[in-house]
Amino acid sequence: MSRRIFLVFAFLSLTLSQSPLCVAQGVLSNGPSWSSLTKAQKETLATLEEDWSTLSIEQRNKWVHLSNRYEKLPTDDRELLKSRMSDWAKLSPSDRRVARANFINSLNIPNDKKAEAWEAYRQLSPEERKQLTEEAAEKNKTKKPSLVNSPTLKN
Amino acid sequence: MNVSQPNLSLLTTSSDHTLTSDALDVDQIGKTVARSLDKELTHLSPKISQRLENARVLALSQRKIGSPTVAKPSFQFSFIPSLRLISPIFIVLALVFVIAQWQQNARISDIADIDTAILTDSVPPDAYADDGFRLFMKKMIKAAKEEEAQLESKALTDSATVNQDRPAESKNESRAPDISNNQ
Repeated sequence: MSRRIFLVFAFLSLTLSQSPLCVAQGVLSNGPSWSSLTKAQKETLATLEEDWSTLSIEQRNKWVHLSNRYEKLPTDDRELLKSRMSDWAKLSPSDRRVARANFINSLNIPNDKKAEAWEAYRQLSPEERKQLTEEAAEKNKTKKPSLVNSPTLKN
Repeated sequence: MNVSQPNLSLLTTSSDHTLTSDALDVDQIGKTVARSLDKELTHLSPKISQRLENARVLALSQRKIGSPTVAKPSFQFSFIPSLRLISPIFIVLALVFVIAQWQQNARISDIADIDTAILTDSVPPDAYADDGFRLFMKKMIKAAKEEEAQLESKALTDSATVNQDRPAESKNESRAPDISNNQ
């Protein structure tokens, strides 16, 4: 009985120590360092190299996950992703949370309509934009929290 | 003898197990046999009584010799519970750790999926970070839908006015067979 328990425990310990999460991302340490990344990951995340040390463990892990998906993307999307990566990383955590919530809320809107709306929004004067932002903030105050703007989307 | 017969058979069957069975079982069998023999003791000859006495002494002496061997399992028994208590705790802790890591990994993976979609979307991430744009887009889509609805209702009213004359025609058409039937 005790031997069996020991074997189960040993197996679990081995599984933990060999799990890709622990090895590749260094969850038990300070997160994956830049030098621990693979060549392909470094190439994908090149724009983040300077800021890598300032990123949190979760952010680093997220970028590693994202870089692993990079190869599966179409060529156009790869270029787009690389060009936007740096700006996205520079956003504050709350701005990223708002962006994720807004993105999920607008999933049912066709891409061409979104692009059309963005072009029209850019044509607005700064005052008009400010007015819209204030109006949205007022509406958000009375809005109930939902799954989309839950703390789990913070990162 | 009828009374001692099943006891003897019990003794013989148990004797096969005495070497391997638990000491407590042997003790119980011995007591049962002793009780049955004691009942028949008054009817026995002195010679048999003497032999039984000798056998009893021998059995008792063997029991004393056998008793220290019972101490070994008691020592193991005291050691095993500590493992039995501690091992499940380790297993539960390990499982909790694995589940927590798996959840964390799944959460980060989900966020990476969303971020990938945002970074490759038709509008830049700044647009989504701007609540003003979200409101503007909603208003724009709402206005477009209202315009669409107005156009649809206008088209419906136009088609209704066009069809206004048709019921009269159809009424005339429907009357014609009635007339023919009357005739």
